[in-house]
Amino acid sequence: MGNSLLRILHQHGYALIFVAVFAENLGLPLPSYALILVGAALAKELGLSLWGIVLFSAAGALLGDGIWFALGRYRGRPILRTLCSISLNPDSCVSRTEDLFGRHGLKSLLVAKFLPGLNTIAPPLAGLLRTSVLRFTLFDLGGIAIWVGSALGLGLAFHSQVEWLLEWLSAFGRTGVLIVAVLLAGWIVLKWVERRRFYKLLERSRISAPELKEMLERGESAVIVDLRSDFGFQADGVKIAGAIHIPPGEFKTRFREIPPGRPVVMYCT
Amino acid sequence: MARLLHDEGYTNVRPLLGGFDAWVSLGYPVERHVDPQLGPVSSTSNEPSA
Repeated sequence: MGNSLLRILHQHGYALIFVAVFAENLGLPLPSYALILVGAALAKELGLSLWGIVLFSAAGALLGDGIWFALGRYRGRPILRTLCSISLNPDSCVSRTEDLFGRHGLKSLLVAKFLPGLNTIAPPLAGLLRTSVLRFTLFDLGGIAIWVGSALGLGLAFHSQVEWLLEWLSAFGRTGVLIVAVLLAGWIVLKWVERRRFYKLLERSRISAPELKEMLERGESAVIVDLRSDFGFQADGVKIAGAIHIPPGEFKTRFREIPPGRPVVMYCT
Repeated sequence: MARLLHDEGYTNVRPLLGGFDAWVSLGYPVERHVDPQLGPVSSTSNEPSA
Protein backbone atom coordinates (compact mmCIF):
# COMPACT_ATOMS: atom_id res chain seq x y z
CA MET A 1 0.00 0.00 0.00
CA GLY A 2 2.83 2.34 0.92
CA ASN A 3 0.56 5.30 1.38
CA SER A 4 0.57 6.94 4.77
CA LEU A 5 -3.03 8.11 4.42
CA LEU A 6 -4.28 4.64 3.78
CA ARG A 7 -1.93 3.22 6.38
CA ILE A 8 -3.58 5.28 9.09
CA LEU A 9 -6.99 4.07 7.96
CA HIS A 10 -5.65 0.53 7.65
CA GLN A 11 -4.29 0.46 11.18
CA HIS A 12 -6.89 2.47 13.02
CA GLY A 13 -9.92 2.31 10.72
CA TYR A 14 -12.56 1.15 13.19
CA ALA A 15 -11.30 3.32 16.05
CA LEU A 16 -11.17 6.37 13.80
CA ILE A 17 -14.70 5.82 12.51
CA PHE A 18 -16.05 5.23 16.01
CA VAL A 19 -14.42 8.33 17.51
CA ALA A 20 -15.36 10.60 14.59
CA VAL A 21 -19.01 9.50 14.56
CA PHE A 22 -19.25 9.72 18.35
CA ALA A 23 -17.72 13.21 18.49
CA GLU A 24 -19.88 14.50 15.64
CA ASN A 25 -23.02 13.28 17.37
CA LEU A 26 -21.93 15.04 20.53
CA GLY A 27 -21.98 18.22 18.46
CA LEU A 28 -18.47 18.70 17.06
CA PRO A 29 -18.31 19.67 13.40
CA LEU A 30 -16.60 16.59 11.97
CA PRO A 31 -17.04 15.03 8.54
CA SER A 32 -17.65 11.51 9.81
CA TYR A 33 -20.09 10.83 6.96
CA ALA A 34 -17.21 11.21 4.49
CA LEU A 35 -15.07 8.92 6.60
CA ILE A 36 -17.68 6.15 6.55
CA LEU A 37 -18.03 6.64 2.80
CA VAL A 38 -14.28 6.28 2.19
CA GLY A 39 -14.07 3.35 4.58
CA ALA A 40 -16.85 1.54 2.72
CA ALA A 41 -15.40 2.32 -0.71
CA LEU A 42 -11.99 0.93 0.20
CA ALA A 43 -13.09 -1.73 2.68
CA LYS A 44 -11.28 -4.52 0.85
CA GLU A 45 -8.03 -2.60 0.42
CA LEU A 46 -8.10 -1.44 4.03
CA GLY A 47 -8.89 -4.85 5.44
CA LEU A 48 -12.12 -3.56 6.98
CA SER A 49 -15.37 -5.48 6.86
CA LEU A 50 -18.55 -3.61 5.93
CA TRP A 51 -20.27 -5.06 8.98
CA GLY A 52 -17.44 -3.77 11.15
CA ILE A 53 -17.88 -0.29 9.72
CA VAL A 54 -21.64 -0.44 10.32
CA LEU A 55 -21.15 -1.71 13.85
CA PHE A 56 -18.57 0.87 14.89
CA SER A 57 -20.35 3.84 13.33
CA ALA A 58 -23.70 2.77 14.78
CA ALA A 59 -22.12 2.31 18.23
CA GLY A 60 -20.51 5.77 18.06
CA ALA A 61 -23.74 7.44 16.96
CA LEU A 62 -25.91 5.64 19.50
CA LEU A 63 -23.50 6.44 22.33
CA GLY A 64 -23.34 10.14 21.38
CA ASP A 65 -27.12 10.42 21.03
CA GLY A 66 -27.65 8.37 24.18
CA ILE A 67 -25.61 10.81 26.25
CA TRP A 68 -27.71 13.74 25.00
CA PHE A 69 -30.90 11.77 25.55
CA ALA A 70 -29.90 11.06 29.16
CA LEU A 71 -28.94 14.71 29.72
CA GLY A 72 -32.32 15.82 28.39
CA ARG A 73 -34.11 13.32 30.55
CA TYR A 74 -32.33 14.05 33.81
CA ARG A 75 -31.25 17.68 33.48
CA GLY A 76 -34.25 18.92 31.53
CA ARG A 77 -34.82 22.26 29.93
CA PRO A 78 -31.57 24.09 30.79
CA ILE A 79 -29.67 21.59 28.65
CA LEU A 80 -31.86 22.41 25.68
CA ARG A 81 -31.44 26.13 26.14
CA THR A 82 -27.67 25.82 26.13
CA LEU A 83 -27.85 23.72 22.99
CA CYS A 84 -30.17 26.22 21.37
CA SER A 85 -27.68 29.00 21.78
CA ILE A 86 -24.74 27.09 20.28
CA SER A 87 -26.66 25.18 17.65
CA LEU A 88 -25.61 25.66 14.03
CA ASN A 89 -29.10 26.71 13.12
CA PRO A 90 -29.19 30.47 13.75
CA ASP A 91 -32.78 31.14 14.71
CA SER A 92 -33.46 27.68 16.00
CA CYS A 93 -35.02 27.79 19.38
CA VAL A 94 -36.20 25.14 21.79
CA SER A 95 -39.82 25.89 21.05
CA ARG A 96 -39.32 25.50 17.32
CA THR A 97 -37.76 22.10 17.75
CA GLU A 98 -40.43 21.23 20.27
CA ASP A 99 -43.03 22.18 17.70
CA LEU A 100 -41.42 19.99 15.07
CA PHE A 101 -41.35 17.14 17.54
CA GLY A 102 -44.97 17.78 18.40
CA ARG A 103 -45.93 17.35 14.76
CA HIS A 104 -43.66 14.51 13.69
CA GLY A 105 -42.80 12.98 17.03
CA LEU A 106 -40.06 10.42 17.18
CA LYS A 107 -40.06 10.18 13.39
CA SER A 108 -37.92 13.33 13.48
CA LEU A 109 -35.10 11.09 14.69
CA LEU A 110 -35.15 9.24 11.37
CA VAL A 111 -34.00 12.26 9.39
CA ALA A 112 -32.26 14.23 12.16
CA LYS A 113 -28.81 12.95 11.17
CA PHE A 114 -29.02 14.85 7.90
CA LEU A 115 -29.96 18.15 9.52
CA PRO A 116 -27.02 19.60 11.50
CA GLY A 117 -29.11 21.71 13.85
CA LEU A 118 -31.66 19.03 14.60
CA ASN A 119 -29.14 16.22 14.97
CA THR A 120 -27.82 17.43 18.32
CA ILE A 121 -31.08 18.78 19.62
CA ALA A 122 -33.45 15.89 18.84
CA PRO A 123 -32.04 13.32 21.33
CA PRO A 124 -32.13 15.61 24.41
CA LEU A 125 -35.60 16.76 23.38
CA ALA A 126 -36.78 13.16 23.23
CA GLY A 127 -35.35 12.76 26.73
CA LEU A 128 -37.06 15.91 27.97
CA LEU A 129 -40.41 14.70 26.64
CA ARG A 130 -40.02 11.49 28.67
CA THR A 131 -39.76 9.17 25.70
CA SER A 132 -39.12 5.63 26.91
CA VAL A 133 -35.57 4.37 26.50
CA LEU A 134 -36.77 1.52 24.29
CA ARG A 135 -38.72 3.74 21.89
CA PHE A 136 -35.89 6.26 21.71
CA THR A 137 -33.35 3.51 20.98
CA LEU A 138 -35.53 2.01 18.25
CA PHE A 139 -36.15 5.30 16.43
CA ASP A 140 -32.59 6.48 16.92
CA LEU A 141 -31.29 3.22 15.50
CA GLY A 142 -33.65 3.70 12.56
CA GLY A 143 -32.15 7.13 11.88
CA ILE A 144 -28.63 5.75 12.28
CA ALA A 145 -29.38 2.89 9.88
CA ILE A 146 -30.55 5.33 7.19
CA TRP A 147 -27.56 7.58 7.75
CA VAL A 148 -24.86 4.89 7.83
CA GLY A 149 -26.62 2.91 5.09
CA SER A 150 -26.58 5.85 2.69
CA ALA A 151 -22.88 6.53 3.34
CA LEU A 152 -22.16 2.87 2.76
CA GLY A 153 -24.20 2.81 -0.43
CA LEU A 154 -22.50 5.91 -1.80
CA GLY A 155 -19.08 4.50 -0.90
CA LEU A 156 -19.77 1.25 -2.73
CA ALA A 157 -21.30 3.02 -5.73
CA PHE A 158 -18.39 5.40 -6.11
CA HIS A 159 -15.75 2.86 -5.20
CA SER A 160 -13.52 3.56 -8.22
CA GLN A 161 -13.78 7.34 -7.92
CA VAL A 162 -12.76 7.25 -4.25
CA GLU A 163 -9.91 4.91 -5.10
CA TRP A 164 -8.77 7.19 -7.91
CA LEU A 165 -8.89 10.23 -5.64
CA LEU A 166 -6.83 8.56 -2.95
CA GLU A 167 -4.32 7.25 -5.47
CA TRP A 168 -3.98 10.71 -6.87
CA LEU A 169 -3.37 12.05 -3.36
CA SER A 170 -0.93 9.28 -2.52
CA ALA A 171 1.13 10.23 -5.58
CA PHE A 172 2.00 13.32 -3.59
CA GLY A 173 3.27 11.19 -0.70
CA ARG A 174 3.56 13.28 2.43
CA THR A 175 2.15 16.23 0.56
CA GLY A 176 -1.01 14.19 0.02
CA VAL A 177 -1.53 13.84 3.75
CA LEU A 178 -0.88 17.53 4.09
CA ILE A 179 -3.45 18.42 1.43
CA VAL A 180 -6.10 16.32 3.18
CA ALA A 181 -5.18 17.77 6.57
CA VAL A 182 -5.35 21.34 5.28
CA LEU A 183 -8.68 20.74 3.53
CA LEU A 184 -10.07 19.15 6.67
CA ALA A 185 -8.80 21.92 8.93
CA GLY A 186 -10.15 24.51 6.52
CA TRP A 187 -13.56 22.87 6.51
CA ILE A 188 -13.74 22.73 10.30
CA VAL A 189 -12.59 26.34 10.66
CA LEU A 190 -15.18 27.41 8.09
CA LYS A 191 -17.97 25.68 9.98
CA TRP A 192 -16.74 27.12 13.26
CA VAL A 193 -16.49 30.66 11.89
CA GLU A 194 -19.97 30.35 10.44
CA ARG A 195 -21.30 29.25 13.82
CA ARG A 196 -19.51 32.05 15.64
CA ARG A 197 -20.82 34.63 13.21
CA PHE A 198 -24.45 33.60 13.69
CA TYR A 199 -23.91 33.42 17.42
CA LYS A 200 -22.38 36.90 17.55
CA LEU A 201 -25.19 38.29 15.46
CA LEU A 202 -27.76 36.77 17.77
CA GLU A 203 -25.90 37.95 20.84
CA ARG A 204 -25.68 41.51 19.63
CA SER A 205 -29.35 41.83 18.89
CA ARG A 206 -30.48 40.20 22.12
CA ILE A 207 -31.99 42.11 25.00
CA SER A 208 -31.35 40.98 28.58
CA ALA A 209 -34.17 40.50 31.08
CA PRO A 210 -33.14 43.52 33.26
CA GLU A 211 -32.91 45.70 30.13
CA LEU A 212 -36.41 44.68 29.10
CA LYS A 213 -37.83 45.32 32.56
CA GLU A 214 -36.25 48.75 32.65
CA MET A 215 -37.61 49.48 29.18
CA LEU A 216 -41.15 48.60 30.30
CA GLU A 217 -40.76 50.64 33.47
CA ARG A 218 -39.76 53.66 31.40
CA GLY A 219 -43.17 53.27 29.80
CA GLU A 220 -41.89 52.29 26.35
CA SER A 221 -44.64 50.55 24.46
CA ALA A 222 -42.74 47.43 23.46
CA VAL A 223 -44.70 44.47 22.10
CA ILE A 224 -43.72 41.25 23.83
CA VAL A 225 -44.25 38.06 21.85
CA ASP A 226 -44.30 34.65 23.53
CA LEU A 227 -43.00 32.09 21.05
CA ARG A 228 -43.28 28.98 23.16
CA SER A 229 -44.99 25.97 21.64
CA ASP A 230 -48.56 25.35 22.78
CA PHE A 231 -47.24 22.45 24.82
CA GLY A 232 -44.73 24.55 26.78
CA PHE A 233 -47.07 27.54 27.05
CA GLN A 234 -49.96 25.57 28.56
CA ALA A 235 -47.72 23.52 30.83
CA ASP A 236 -46.29 26.67 32.38
CA GLY A 237 -49.56 28.56 32.79
CA VAL A 238 -47.79 31.93 33.05
CA LYS A 239 -46.24 34.41 30.61
CA ILE A 240 -44.53 37.78 30.82
CA ALA A 241 -47.22 40.33 31.68
CA GLY A 242 -48.86 41.67 28.54
CA ALA A 243 -47.25 39.24 26.12
CA ILE A 244 -49.02 37.95 22.99
CA HIS A 245 -48.67 34.19 22.48
CA ILE A 246 -48.00 32.94 18.96
CA PRO A 247 -46.81 29.31 18.71
CA PRO A 248 -43.89 28.93 16.27
CA GLY A 249 -45.94 26.70 13.96
CA GLU A 250 -48.52 29.46 13.45
CA PHE A 251 -46.02 32.28 13.24
CA LYS A 252 -46.06 32.64 9.45
CA THR A 253 -49.84 33.09 9.36
CA ARG A 254 -50.31 35.08 12.55
CA PHE A 255 -47.37 37.47 12.79
CA ARG A 256 -49.59 40.33 11.58
CA GLU A 257 -51.20 40.31 15.03
CA ILE A 258 -48.04 42.10 16.15
CA PRO A 259 -48.75 45.83 15.86
CA PRO A 260 -46.18 47.42 13.54
CA GLY A 261 -44.09 50.46 14.33
CA ARG A 262 -43.28 49.45 17.91
CA PRO A 263 -40.21 47.70 19.26
CA VAL A 264 -40.73 43.93 19.43
CA VAL A 265 -39.18 41.60 22.00
CA MET A 266 -39.59 37.87 21.43
CA TYR A 267 -38.88 35.04 23.78
CA CYS A 268 -39.09 31.29 24.04
CA THR A 269 -38.54 29.03 27.03
CA MET B 1 -38.57 34.36 13.03
CA ALA B 2 -36.82 37.58 13.97
CA ARG B 3 -35.59 37.65 10.39
CA LEU B 4 -39.08 37.08 8.98
CA LEU B 5 -40.41 40.00 11.01
CA HIS B 6 -37.49 42.13 9.91
CA ASP B 7 -38.20 41.35 6.26
CA GLU B 8 -41.86 42.24 6.79
CA GLY B 9 -40.96 45.74 7.92
CA TYR B 10 -40.69 45.36 11.69
CA THR B 11 -37.35 47.10 12.11
CA ASN B 12 -36.80 46.79 15.84
CA VAL B 13 -36.95 43.10 16.79
CA ARG B 14 -34.89 41.64 19.63
CA PRO B 15 -34.90 38.16 21.13
CA LEU B 16 -34.88 38.01 24.93
CA LEU B 17 -31.55 36.75 26.24
CA GLY B 18 -32.07 33.57 28.24
CA GLY B 19 -35.72 33.43 27.29
CA PHE B 20 -38.61 33.08 29.70
CA ASP B 21 -36.51 31.13 32.22
CA ALA B 22 -34.16 34.11 32.70
CA TRP B 23 -37.14 36.43 33.26
CA VAL B 24 -38.70 34.12 35.84
CA SER B 25 -35.44 33.38 37.65
CA LEU B 26 -35.01 37.12 38.31
CA GLY B 27 -38.44 37.21 39.88
CA TYR B 28 -39.89 39.64 37.32
CA PRO B 29 -43.68 39.95 36.99
CA VAL B 30 -45.58 37.24 35.13
CA GLU B 31 -49.26 36.91 34.38
CA ARG B 32 -51.56 33.86 34.37
CA HIS B 33 -52.82 33.45 30.85
CA VAL B 34 -56.10 32.32 29.38
CA ASP B 35 -56.30 28.60 28.88
CA PRO B 36 -58.51 27.86 25.85
CA GLN B 37 -59.60 24.54 27.33
CA LEU B 38 -60.46 25.77 30.81
CA GLY B 39 -61.60 29.29 30.08
CA PRO B 40 -60.13 32.47 31.48
CA VAL B 41 -57.84 32.06 34.46
CA SER B 42 -57.27 35.02 36.71
CA SER B 43 -54.99 35.28 39.70
CA THR B 44 -57.48 37.56 41.45
CA SER B 45 -60.61 35.47 40.97
CA ASN B 46 -61.51 32.46 43.07
CA GLU B 47 -64.63 31.56 41.13
CA PRO B 48 -64.46 28.22 39.37
CA SER B 49 -64.88 28.54 35.63
CA ALA B 50 -68.07 27.13 34.14
